[in-house]
Amino acid sequence: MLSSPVWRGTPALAFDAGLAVGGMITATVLVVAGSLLRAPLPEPARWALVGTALAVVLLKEAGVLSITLPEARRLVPESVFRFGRHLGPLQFGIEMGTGARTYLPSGLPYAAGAAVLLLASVPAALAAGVGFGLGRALMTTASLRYSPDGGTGSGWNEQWQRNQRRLALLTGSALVVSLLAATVASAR
Amino acid sequence: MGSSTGGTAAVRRRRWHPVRVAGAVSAASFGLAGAALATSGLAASDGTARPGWLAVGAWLAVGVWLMMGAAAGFAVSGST
Repeated sequence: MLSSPVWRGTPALAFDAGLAVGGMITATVLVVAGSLLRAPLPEPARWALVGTALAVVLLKEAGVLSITLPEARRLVPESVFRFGRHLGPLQFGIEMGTGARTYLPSGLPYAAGAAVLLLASVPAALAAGVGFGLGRALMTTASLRYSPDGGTGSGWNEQWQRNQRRLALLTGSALVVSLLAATVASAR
Repeated sequence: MGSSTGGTAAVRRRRWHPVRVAGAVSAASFGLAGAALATSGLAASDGTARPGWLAVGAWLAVGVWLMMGAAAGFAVSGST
């Protein structure tokens, strides 16, 4: 799908914007639900819950724990493109950006989601949502640049599979360091 | 001509290699996290209000949430 000409120029920008919007939608839902969940929980309990979620996800990423986290086991249908050259990619991006409408090959969004749910302010939650969209957009951009003949062609995916452990370590450590810094800096 | 095109493709593939992109995200996360902690530490160290530092610290704190989301987003996109 990524090899389609729709992934060049302004439709690609519409897709990226959709990813950011989708991330913000999920973040908004989490922060609203979190406002209810936080009320009865003292702050140390919230920290403990986020720490537990983070530990579980990291153990899963490291291959120590073998658990299946919930995900939508489906692809966003190509029928979204019936909305046109820009609105189609925009909707595709929104659906993919929510993180709830298609596969989640990593557990890291669950750690980020737990932090947003229990610790983040509204601006911080929205920033995390936009970041989630930007991260997915970065993958699309990088895979298209890496193998212009087809972003999901053998080249990119092959490299991803070959370096899976290193990639898990890099993205996992980026998430952990950011989460610690964000919560500590926000708490001061 | 052919080797020049091949060379350009090789450079592009190195530049956009998934490990390199993930490394850039991680480096940005570490830098921003360090800056956010250092700035919030400066703001809180002597107890006096420093609006400028506080504002910078708050924006950096939002920035690290952004990078946390970006790391999570990039991580789930590998095989979709």
